[in-house]
Parts: sequence; C-alpha cells; structure tokens
Amino acid sequence: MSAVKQARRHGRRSRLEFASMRSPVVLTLAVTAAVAIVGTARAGPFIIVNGLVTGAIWALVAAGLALVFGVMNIPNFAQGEFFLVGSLSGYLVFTNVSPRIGGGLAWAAPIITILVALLVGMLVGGLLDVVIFGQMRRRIREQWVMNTFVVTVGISVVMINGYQLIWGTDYRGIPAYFTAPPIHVLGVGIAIDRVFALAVGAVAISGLWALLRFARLGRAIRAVSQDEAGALMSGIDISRIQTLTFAISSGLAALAGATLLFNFPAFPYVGIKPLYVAWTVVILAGLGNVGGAVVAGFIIALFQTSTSYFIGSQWEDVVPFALIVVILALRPNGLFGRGVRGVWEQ
Amino acid sequence: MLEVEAVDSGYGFLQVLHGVNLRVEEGELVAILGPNGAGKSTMLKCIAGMLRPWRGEIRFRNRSLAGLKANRVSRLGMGYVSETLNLFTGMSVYENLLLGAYAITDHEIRRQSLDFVFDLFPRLAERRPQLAGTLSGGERKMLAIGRALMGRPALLLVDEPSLGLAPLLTQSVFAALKRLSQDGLTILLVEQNVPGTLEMADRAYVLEQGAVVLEGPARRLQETAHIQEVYMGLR
Repeated sequence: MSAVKQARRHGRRSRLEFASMRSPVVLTLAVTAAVAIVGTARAGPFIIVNGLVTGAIWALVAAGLALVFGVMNIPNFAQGEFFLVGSLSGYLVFTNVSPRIGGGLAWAAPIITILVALLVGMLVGGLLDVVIFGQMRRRIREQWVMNTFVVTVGISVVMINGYQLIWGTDYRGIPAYFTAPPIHVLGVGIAIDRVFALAVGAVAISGLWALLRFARLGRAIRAVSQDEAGALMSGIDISRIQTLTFAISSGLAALAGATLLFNFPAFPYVGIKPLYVAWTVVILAGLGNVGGAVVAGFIIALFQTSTSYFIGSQWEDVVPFALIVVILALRPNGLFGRGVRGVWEQ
Repeated sequence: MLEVEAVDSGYGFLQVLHGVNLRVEEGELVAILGPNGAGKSTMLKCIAGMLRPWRGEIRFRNRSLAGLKANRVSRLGMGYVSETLNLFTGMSVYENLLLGAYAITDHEIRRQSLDFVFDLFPRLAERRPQLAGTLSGGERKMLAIGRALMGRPALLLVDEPSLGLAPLLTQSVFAALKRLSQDGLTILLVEQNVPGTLEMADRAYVLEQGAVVLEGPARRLQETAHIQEVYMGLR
C-alpha cells in the first residue's frame, strides 16, 4: 500500500474515531456505570453482586469464543455444547463424589467436580480439533470462516442430539454445591454457590490472562493469532497451538457449565443461552478480543440482572440484544475491536 | 551445507521455477540476483519450507527437506527473513525476539543470543518495549533479522534486505549482514540491488524467468558483460 493511501486512511480513521467510534465506548461505559449506580441505589447491592457472578461466568464462555476466533478464525457456534459437556460431567462427578466424601472434606467435592469438568472439556475440544478442524486446516484454504461456521453448527446439532440419545431429556441438576447458609454482604444474603462461581470465574480469567501474557505457550498462541507465517518461521507448530487453543476454549466453557450447575441443570439445550449470550458479549467487545470479552461479559451481565429485577426476567435478554443492535450500528467492529482480518488474508 | 537440485515450483497452475540448481557451502555469503518476477523469493520460500517444490530435491546439512513443514525446517537451523518480514506487530520488540528463540529452551543461550542481537542492532535495544507495529521500516528489517538470529541458525535466508529502505539504511543493514558473514554465519541472500550485493557476496546466481542463467564468484560476475549491461547500466 502506498504511503499516501495509508496516510489518508489514518486521517479518516482518526476523525471518525472522535465523531462516532470512541463515543459509543464512552457512552456504553457511562450507561453501564449509571445502571450500576441507580440499580444499587434502588435495589441494593444485589444487582452488583449478581451482575458480578453472572458476568464472571459469561466472561469465561465468551473469552473462549474470542480466543478461538482470534487464533483460528473459527466462529464457534458449538461453544454452548461444551458448556453442556461441563454441566453433564459436573453432574456425574458431583453426584458420585459428594456422597463418598463427607465431614471435613465436603468442600473439596465441588472443586474436584469443576476440575474434572475442565479436563473433560479440554479433552473433548482437543479431540474434536484434531479430528475435524485439523483435517480442514490441511485441506481448505478458501472460505475458511464460512466453512468452519457451518461445521460448528453441525457439531452443535450432533452433540445436542447425541446427548439426547444417550442421556435423554431429563434435567440433571443439583440444588446447590454447598449446604452452608448464605453469607451476608452489605445486608444482602449471597448463596455460597454464587461466591464460589465468582471465585472460579476470577481465578480462571486471571489464569488465562497470565497464560497469554507471560507463558511461552501463551506467547506462541498470540504469535499464531498475529502472523501465522511468522510463527512458522520461528519454529512454532501452528497446528498444535491451534489444537491447544481450541482445547483451552472448550475447557473454559465446560468449567463455566460445571460451575453454574446449581443454576443450569444439564439437559440437551442448556448450551443455547450461554452460546447466545457469549456471542452477544463477543460482538459487543469486538471479535477476537479476549480482554474486551471479559469487560463486555460484565457489562452484559449487569444489564441482564438489572433488567430482570426492574422489568421482569422474561425481558432479561431483550435489553442486552437491543444494546448490541445500537453498538453495531454505530461501531461495527465492537467496543474494543480493530478491523477483523481473516487468518488466510494475512 | 545447502543443495538445491532441479527444483520446479510455483503457485496453483503457475510454474515459477524451472529446474533450479544451487549450492551454498558452509561460511559462504551467496546471493540470488535477478529482475522482478524471476522466482527469487519463490526459491527462498521453497528452501524455508513455506512452499512445496513440485519436483527436485532440497538438502540441508545432508538431510532431505522433502515433506517437512516450515516450523520443522526452522528447527533444523534455518533462519528465514521473508520479504514481508511477518513480524508480530501487536507484540513488543522483546517478545518478537523471544519468539524467534521459541525452539530454544536453555535460558542462558537465549540470553546470549539476545545480547548478540542487541549488540548487532543497538536500535532494537532502545526500542525493546515498543510494539513491533510502531517501528520504522529500517527497524522492522533489523527486528526481522534479529528474530531469525535468535533461533541460532546455521544458515540465514534473507529476502531483499534493501527493499523499501533509504540508501543509508540499506548500507547499515548490509553492514550487519557482512559482519554476520565475517563471524562465520552462512547466508543466502536475495537481492535486486546488484552492484552493492556483488561487492559483499562470495558467489552469486542470476535467476531469470525461473532458471539460473549465470553463476559464479561475485568478482567474476561483476566483470560479465550481461551483468554490466542489464543490471548495472554500464556499456
């Protein structure tokens, strides 16, 4: 590209940024803060606490989506089914482990449960990548995004119906992970399960952040997402990195599914809602932006909890989705997104 | 160290290379010269494993590279600086260099390579925390060469180091390559800047329309009528 063209493009961009690109970000953050403050004033810290808990979990599912899109350019519409994998393995592990360890060690059962769910999710995801996307990588170069999109939808259908075939359509849930009474923060009772979910979300997100920021593997993941040819030249086996990325992403969704088992029992269609919410979050944040997905996860969750408190829970998804429409109209790349570029276009 | 035998290659149905033979001995600085579209970059891509030869064989340190992917070739000791550099633009200079040493797990060796690269290109040391995408053209070129050196290559492939650089910067990049060569590194260079390249190379191949038309010691090629006429504008 000639220097003149580049300069012109930058010029246009910076003007746009001021007029219509940066302001939606500020506006959204301001509206979010306002909702948080007003909500808290009228309904108590309940809104914030619930927003944080749900947000942490949405952030997990959405961060996985963003990671897979950023590194592999796959719009993963099967992410909800990894949530299902997590709910199911969570249910199976917890109902089997919990009666066997009692007394002083009872607190360990939920931890074992979510760790097993994380591992199962990673295993299923990694296997799926080797069997399906690994083959596609070797054969397909054109229309990659569209092809993989259709394939993930297919995987989703197969997994939902496979689940139904084996485990049926019953709800498999638990009333709570912890039997201890709720703790009180600022006069609001919060179930221990919710505190647990918040902690799991916080630990997992920090872990993911640290992995991407400091670890050799994380650096390689970012390298593949930024320049595949450059990664190859540096001796990075990109197919292996992509398998690991998909495994991490599936693991995060499964972790979320197991953690929210008290709220979302395992049944064939449990993944639909997390999938939609996670996509909303990722679109709001900007495709492929992992850090942005975490922030957007909290924004969406806050809107959901306050809508369901003030208007009614059947309206819970309407307000966030309306917000998305507005954001996309004003800023198609999302709040924190730069232009989206295909892996093969690099 | 490197033997290329009767290699044909290209993109899709378009054949670019027609039976190219070339050799690089240990410690040499060899240049591939030629006009635009002659297949110079394609040749380097084949050697680096980024592109598969259709026919023929490429051997590196007495080992056939047939069927090896670029990341495996890189781990065998081949450093590759491509025409587009392929830097990780969203990462710092330091992280780019660390990724160049991805295959090297020994901390001490990695630290030594880092010192070596910073000594060769002091500008990179100044720019250490800066994002690669914000560097100037010359600095990017230095970073790409530095990243390739971080993998401790036995052979360094460099595609058009002078491309898009001001003459002064070209000189400093050439000086760095010369110094690496004097330190004993084997280098295979693709260039369009014929006079400057022939000054520093040991041997050169001239590629035209995908075939080698001339080869020999750089000193002798400088005297050749074809070179003087077509590439130096003499006579």
